[in-house]
Amino acid sequence: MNALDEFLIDGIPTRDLEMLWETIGKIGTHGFISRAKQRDLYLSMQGITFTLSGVERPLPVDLVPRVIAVSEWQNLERGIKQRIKALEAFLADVYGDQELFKDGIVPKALIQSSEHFHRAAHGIKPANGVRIHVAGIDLVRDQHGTLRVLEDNLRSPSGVSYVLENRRTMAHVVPELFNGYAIRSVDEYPERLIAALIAAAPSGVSNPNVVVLTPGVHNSAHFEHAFLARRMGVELVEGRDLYCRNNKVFMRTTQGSEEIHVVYRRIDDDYLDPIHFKPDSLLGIPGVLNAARANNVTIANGVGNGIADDKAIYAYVPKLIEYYLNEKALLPNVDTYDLKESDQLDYVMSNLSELVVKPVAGSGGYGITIGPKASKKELEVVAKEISTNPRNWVAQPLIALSTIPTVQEDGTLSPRHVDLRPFAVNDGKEIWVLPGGLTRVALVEGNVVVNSSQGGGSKDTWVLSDETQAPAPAIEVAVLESDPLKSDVVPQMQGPDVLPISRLHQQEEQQQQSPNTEVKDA
Amino acid sequence: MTWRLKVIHTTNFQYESEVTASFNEARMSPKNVDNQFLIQHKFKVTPSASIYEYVDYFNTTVNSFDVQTPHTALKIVAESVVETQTPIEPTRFITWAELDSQTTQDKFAEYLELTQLVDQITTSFALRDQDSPLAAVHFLNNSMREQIMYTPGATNVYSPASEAWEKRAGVCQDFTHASLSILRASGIPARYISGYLYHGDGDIGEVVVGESHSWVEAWVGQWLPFDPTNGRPVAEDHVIVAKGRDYHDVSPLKGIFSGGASRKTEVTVALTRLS
Amino acid sequence: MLSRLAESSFWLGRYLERTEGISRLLLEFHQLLIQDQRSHIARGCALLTHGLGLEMKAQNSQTLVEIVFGEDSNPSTIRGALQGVRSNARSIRDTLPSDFFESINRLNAAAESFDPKSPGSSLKNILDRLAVSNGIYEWLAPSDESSHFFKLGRSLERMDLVSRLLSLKIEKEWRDQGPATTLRAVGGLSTFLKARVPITAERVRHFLINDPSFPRSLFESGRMAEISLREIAQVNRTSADTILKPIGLLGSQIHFLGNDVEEEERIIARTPLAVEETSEAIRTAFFRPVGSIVWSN
Repeated sequence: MNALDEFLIDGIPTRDLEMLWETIGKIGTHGFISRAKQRDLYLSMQGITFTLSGVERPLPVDLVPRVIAVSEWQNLERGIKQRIKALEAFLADVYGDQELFKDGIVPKALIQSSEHFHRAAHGIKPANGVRIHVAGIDLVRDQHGTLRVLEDNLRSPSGVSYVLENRRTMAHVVPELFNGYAIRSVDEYPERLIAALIAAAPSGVSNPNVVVLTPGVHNSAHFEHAFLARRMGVELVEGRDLYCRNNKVFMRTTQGSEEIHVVYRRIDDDYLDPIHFKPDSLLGIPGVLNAARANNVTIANGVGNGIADDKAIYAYVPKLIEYYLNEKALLPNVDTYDLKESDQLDYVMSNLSELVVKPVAGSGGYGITIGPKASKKELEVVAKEISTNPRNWVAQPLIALSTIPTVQEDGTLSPRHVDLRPFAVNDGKEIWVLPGGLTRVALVEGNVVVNSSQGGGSKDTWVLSDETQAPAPAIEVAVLESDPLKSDVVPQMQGPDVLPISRLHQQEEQQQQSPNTEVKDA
Repeated sequence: MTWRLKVIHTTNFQYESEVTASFNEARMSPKNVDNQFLIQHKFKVTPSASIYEYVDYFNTTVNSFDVQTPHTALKIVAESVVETQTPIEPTRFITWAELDSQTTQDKFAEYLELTQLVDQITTSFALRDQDSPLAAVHFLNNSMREQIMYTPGATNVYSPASEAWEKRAGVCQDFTHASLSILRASGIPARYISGYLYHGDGDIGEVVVGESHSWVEAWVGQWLPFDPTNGRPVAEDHVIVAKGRDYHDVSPLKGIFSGGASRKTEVTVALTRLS
Repeated sequence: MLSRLAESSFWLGRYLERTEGISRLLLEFHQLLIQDQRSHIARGCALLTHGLGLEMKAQNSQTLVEIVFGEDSNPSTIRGALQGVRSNARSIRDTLPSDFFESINRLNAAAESFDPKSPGSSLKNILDRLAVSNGIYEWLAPSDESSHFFKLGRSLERMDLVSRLLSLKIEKEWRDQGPATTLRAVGGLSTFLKARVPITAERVRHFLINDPSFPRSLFESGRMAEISLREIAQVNRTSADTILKPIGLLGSQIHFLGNDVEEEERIIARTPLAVEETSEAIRTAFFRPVGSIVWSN
């Protein structure tokens, strides 16, 4: 399968990118080597890091940006808004009157057997109706140039801080690349988020107290939590800083207690409230769920959102868009085979070696089988598991993700596979999509790049401003010649949860469960 | 026949050392459901706490409260007056084929799945050999007491159905879980009912000390309640509090506390027939 | 302010000061030891390790350097104190000036390139970075409650360090260089020399206990701690009197000290206890310790 390069077609830059390509040429191999050093120094001094296996590392931003044309972005923006609107309606329905079952839109069993369907969240009505305050929609571009939704992230999608920092880093390290381009700013994000959080406060609170709740400094995304708190001008708190009394949430301060109205939490549902979820969680706040139920506090994102980004529900999203909005889905899904349907199951069983098979409940990318890469024995094991319980699995065709030239350790450029995670903020009146998003680059094993031998990298993602650009047609596509490098299918990219950000999130949180409270030595 | 019953459910916790904070949820308020009417409900906690009431996913009334004054004892009293009647005999019965339809199976999916407590048990019962789901339920209700001996102390609140089944011993919770497991394995939707059972002679005004009780409802075209622990139908001496998939969904009191260690827990349920 | 942030600011101040104190002490001790090839070198090493509360025994100056440079898990060593700096800085990162955070990263980088074979230049390097960090803090950190907690921690740690240094009595082992080494170990030599009096053990001790012109003397550190604490109490509309008792008592004892050598000894011995008591009182009053919460059901 041939992946599509978004930047070069037959070695010639696509429309809008000629000038960028010329500047890249001027920087040259040696230039990129020294710029990469500058970048690493800048990142580690700024402390822009994520934690991998307990070690803090910079999340390397590749020095070649990704450019998204105005017209394509406009479609994308509309599609994302549509999707979130439908998913909001879905969540309100699932945790409310459940009309969709009466209308037979989604099998009831599918929802009720999902581990992300939290019965404890039933009856919690957010003050301004918003449950998806922040969304990250993962997209991939297939070999025909079509952007497809790979996964919705509606719980606590991470990575937005890198979007903002990447832009600053690029301006610092390779300022000349910006010459001649008008790029839409990403700096507005924290203002949009705080406005949405304030809008979500319980009714009747005139000057709400908002906090960002983090699992702690050992969490892989702690940098982002601190970044957002700082940029929004609110406190960054840990579970132990808060407590509930009489269904209200308070923060422990040097002056006593201060009431909190909105908790932008970056900890999973399971750890949020030991009364309703894991009773041994030390990260959460006992009583916070009922405080939200009593509408004394708003939990953002909403509790139980996981049901809407569940792998099994994913296949129904286009149907949900039609049901709730009476519109056709603007963004296509990656085709997903419904293994409960016997004809689809038969097809999957006889074509396992060409498909990607994922467990519905799996987290952290475990249990994903990439057909073409799996051994015969592995396929047999999977086949057996699927036939025992088809409901636990989904299958998708393999997609050769698009590539973009990426700087290598030796300063040369080589195509690398990318995905895209745009972020959206819902304030209840408007869904706003951050122009661009996080482009993640898979660094294929064996192609070690500075500072990221174990993880992926990212790219600054430019949405060109339409003021200076003539509206361009949708990006032209072509298929590159087969080349082992370019056509390499990247298994890591098949599920975003295999990428470092979300995977480490999980690991770290599990580590935090040990019941040791921090003791400081005098 | 219509009865009026007063139920006083008292829970006393004593702790080894001071408890600094405690968060709890009680499901002790009888339902206004089926043929039952709740006339009065009082819920009191010592040391005093303000009570927050809400209705959960399973339509159960929950009393939630936190106590953050240091304490070594916690007392919870739930007092209800309720009017009960013998359930109306079901009139609509379905066949096995109707039961097996995808619509029915999907509609009741929640009550067909096994859970941690309602786990798989190995049984020689062949419910499917019975003429209809209704006959299967009657058969099961008549057979459970031959399988499990009512033996307090043989199991605990966390014991799954399989444990009691293997030990052939347990209490009403185990009878209920085991019945649910067998019914669900045969494709009959079934749910856990938590409540109270009056054990007295029916003399008006006489206080009878009992315990909280549990039984089963199975879907046979309508929900049909039965009491496998006693091998009898449900009647006006049964007070319904909560319905769910298993004990977890309906547990009368759950909570967490910080500091202290539990020393002693006493639970008494006093029932009085008022009329 | 958030109690946890107050607590972390306080400990950031303490650990930053401790990193500097131990680094300086080790630098001077190392100088002393390599110039002194007498047989009782092990005793000299033991003096320092014991004074810092370290259990390991050093046989020569190199092992001494390794032990005192130490490890992340022991907050009585340079690495351990630095770890304390890092973890507290991280937990309040969103409230710190980003330049300060950056300087802490650089400080850490300096410590990571520590070479036990040439401790002199490595320690110098660390001290330079510490000076920059402290400077940036003074220069950029808003003068708010958080900075009062930071300075309070710094003052208390100074009192602790200086009293520990005095209790080592370096002059007993090294009669000639001892008093000057003691001064250098707290960066007090030049201030002392301004008085133009000969360096004697007695004068040095007196200077470090109650010289008002030297910011690290016990008297002056105690006064600074009191100022910070009163600021904090004012912001929180509470009284600092009870918390200040142990330090206030120490201050008046120093004030009326005269030339009583035995009283000096008592003050040196009492200081770490007063610091400990004050630290605990601050914890209870402002950090609202939740204890070790373990939920059970």
